[in-house]
Amino acid sequence: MSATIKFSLADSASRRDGTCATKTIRNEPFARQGEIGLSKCVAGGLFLILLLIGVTAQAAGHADWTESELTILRSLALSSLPPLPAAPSNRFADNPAAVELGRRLFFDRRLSSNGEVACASCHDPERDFQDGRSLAKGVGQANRRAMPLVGMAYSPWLFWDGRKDSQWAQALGPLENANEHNLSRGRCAKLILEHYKPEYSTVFGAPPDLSGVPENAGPLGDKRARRAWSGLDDTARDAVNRVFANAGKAIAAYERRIVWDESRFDAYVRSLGEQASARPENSLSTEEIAGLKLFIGKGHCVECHRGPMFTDLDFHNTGVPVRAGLPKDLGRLAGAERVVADEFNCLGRYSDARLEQCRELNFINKDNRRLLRAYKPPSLRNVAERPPYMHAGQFASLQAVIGHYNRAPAAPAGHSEIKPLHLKAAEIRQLKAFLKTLSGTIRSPAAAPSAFQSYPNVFDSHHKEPVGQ
Amino acid sequence: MNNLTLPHIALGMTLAMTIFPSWAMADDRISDKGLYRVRWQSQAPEVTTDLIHDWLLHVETVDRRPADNLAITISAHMPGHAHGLPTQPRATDYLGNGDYRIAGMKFQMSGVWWVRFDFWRKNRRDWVIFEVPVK
Repeated sequence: MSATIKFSLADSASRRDGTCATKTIRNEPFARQGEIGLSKCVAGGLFLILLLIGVTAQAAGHADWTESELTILRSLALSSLPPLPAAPSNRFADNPAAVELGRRLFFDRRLSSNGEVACASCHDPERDFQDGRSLAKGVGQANRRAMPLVGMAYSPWLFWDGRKDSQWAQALGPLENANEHNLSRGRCAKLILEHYKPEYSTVFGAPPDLSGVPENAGPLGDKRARRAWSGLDDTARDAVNRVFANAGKAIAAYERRIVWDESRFDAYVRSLGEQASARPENSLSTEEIAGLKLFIGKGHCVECHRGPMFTDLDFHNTGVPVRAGLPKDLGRLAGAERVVADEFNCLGRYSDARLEQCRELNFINKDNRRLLRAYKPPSLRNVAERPPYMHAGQFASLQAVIGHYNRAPAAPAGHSEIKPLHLKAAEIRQLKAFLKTLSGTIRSPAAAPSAFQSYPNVFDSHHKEPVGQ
Repeated sequence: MNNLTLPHIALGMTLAMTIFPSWAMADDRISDKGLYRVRWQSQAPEVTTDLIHDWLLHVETVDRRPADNLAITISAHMPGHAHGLPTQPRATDYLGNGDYRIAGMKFQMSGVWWVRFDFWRKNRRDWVIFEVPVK
């Protein structure tokens, strides 16, 4: 509104003497630019009035945005994020005792075959709940980069390829993965009851008796573990699965509360709705605003990185190159098949959801043509804080990422959705500057317990052999 | 369907109104081969992103008789973009009076979408495309 006032006054001045040239108010902070654009025609008090109004308009950074651009900006602001969604497949998701149990499990290194790997090893709170590595490192080296966990309560699909459809089902994957926690399912369930029986009972009720379950038994482990698993009767397998699934539900109850705080970008958008109260610290620089304009315009970034999470949570093939030395990666094409087959999915017996609450899974798109090497775009919030980028850390810097989108090379397999952007070097700098405004602090239910650092390695004297391959 | 009576039509409309109390909707459109007159109504008051919702698809012959026993498939894409819907919607129920429930509609991007319905009946195929603005 301030801008409107300024324009009308300037127009009046122009009509009075017929010579006055006004410039469009730029959206850079006035303090940085010191430019008002009326040098040829202003006089006395009128100049002062215009100057004061101009300060207000420019400090609010409102002047140059069209209504449709403003709509997009507001849609990107954190204030547009709806409240934490329900988690119908996890009836313990909002149980405080489950949150606390989940928090402890999240940081517990004992839940790994070598006693050195916790969820927090790859999802480190000090690093925005990721690890800064190209490929995650657990007991071995994983085939993908660890995704940041922040805000994932809003995502219908988990992992880069969406092979899980809830946070609790996702939490189970690494526990059994030979390169991550490397636990057999049986051992994992027994460890949880060994160390957390009272807490488990408080949340989930009396635990089952797992004394008849061998230490090393699971459907995904090595040959010995799989043989032991198939030797169990249905009741024993169900008991293990139930404890295992409940551990995932507790971890998810903790993880779903890991959320973003406001970034400089959010403060800027908020300030666009303010007038005289807009403060300089809410402003963005000329370069950052130019980057924002590119982000929602010429760069087409907002097409996939949209909404307050800066992601559409869908899957896209953007021609990201193959990382040498890794197994063939089909992306969502394989992920869609896996989530349908997952015994811990929304429709499975360990889910608390009713059939009609599993709509994402019920209507999953398994269209082969577009899912090959399609991956979920991560949120861009805090993106500058967590190189390297892409699903296997293919790019070391934001510069390299933007360079990739600028060139838009053909996809190694499937069909890339992107086209060359023809951005100039200065525009790439501007985009990068804008992306840095998306950084903010992250909130989680509590700080990492000291136990993350100090739990003894209970496997030092026994249980040395790796489980599963 | 030739012996469709007024009570049948009223019942069908009441059922549809109960299921879709408010909706966004489109005008009638004639299918490519001229076999059907089609319109859709959305369960949501306006078609927006990120919401899985149902549509009611009304299909009738060009001489205004309800078209029943149709097999229907649904696809959609955005002109100029390489992606389709994040879901695979299906015609899950025939509600009578030429009304079909299309469940699992979800759009992941605002803008103009082309939503296509293909109809099969006794080996005859026809189709219609609607331009749908998604907010």
